[in-house]
Amino acid sequence: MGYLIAAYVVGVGGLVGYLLWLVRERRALARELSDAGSR
Amino acid sequence: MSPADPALHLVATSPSPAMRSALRASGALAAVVAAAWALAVWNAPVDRTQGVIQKILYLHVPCAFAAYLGFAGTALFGALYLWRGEERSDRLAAASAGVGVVFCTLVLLTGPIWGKGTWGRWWSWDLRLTLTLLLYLVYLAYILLRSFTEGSERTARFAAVYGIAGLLVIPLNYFAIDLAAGRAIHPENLERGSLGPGMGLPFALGVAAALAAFVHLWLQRAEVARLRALRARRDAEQSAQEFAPGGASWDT
Repeated sequence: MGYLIAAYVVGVGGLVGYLLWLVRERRALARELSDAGSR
Repeated sequence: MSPADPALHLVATSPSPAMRSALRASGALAAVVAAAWALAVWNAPVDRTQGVIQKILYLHVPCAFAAYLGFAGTALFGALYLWRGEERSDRLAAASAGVGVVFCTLVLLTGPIWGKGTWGRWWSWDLRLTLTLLLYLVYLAYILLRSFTEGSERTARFAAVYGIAGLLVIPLNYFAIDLAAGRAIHPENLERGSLGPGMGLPFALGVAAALAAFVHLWLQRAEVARLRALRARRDAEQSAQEFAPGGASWDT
């Protein structure tokens, strides 16, 4: 059971973590470009 | 487009209406299918031979399919870039490779966990495992190559050819069990009817959830790539202005 839980934590956690990183990166880039454009 | 124009920047830094709709729809679809998959996996029958650990199959194999899709996408958009020369195709190829590598990483992490629980060891230099590692390294090298030399047309052309050539590892990887001719430790490829009763639905939902997640991550990654290209263009324009006659220089 421990191996099963570990695999699902790694798999699902990895995908969710990657999604959160992408969303944060996208928002940071948009903010940076938007700030530069309004200056 | 000039970075000095705020109105144009608002358009460029926000996703287009079509992209925004695609992001919302793909995100909602991935969430719904993933919830159905989780429920189906929870209720799936326990395998008589392996026990409950066999349920890793519903995550491990769909991740492998999504990784294949990512690498096939890299080759496809690379070929489109070579054909039409559009920067967008190059960005989509890079996005496909990025998401493909993430899924391949999960294959290489969940596989050894399953292996430890069933074979008693994390890794074996079995042909399928070795070729999966090779496939991962081929596309990891693609990403590293791009990150070190981002922006040039020459890099994009080389990356496109490399991405297409890397595709050759996929059929080798898929048919590795047959090529090993009975010496493979990895289980055989799934075929129609090879899963036990009640295991088809969670597996199908697992594949659907992985593909829906792939599409959503791919769209997010493509949008990040578009914004990075925009920033690189802005930086290049600023540098050109600074070093243009009459502009700012190192002395000022």
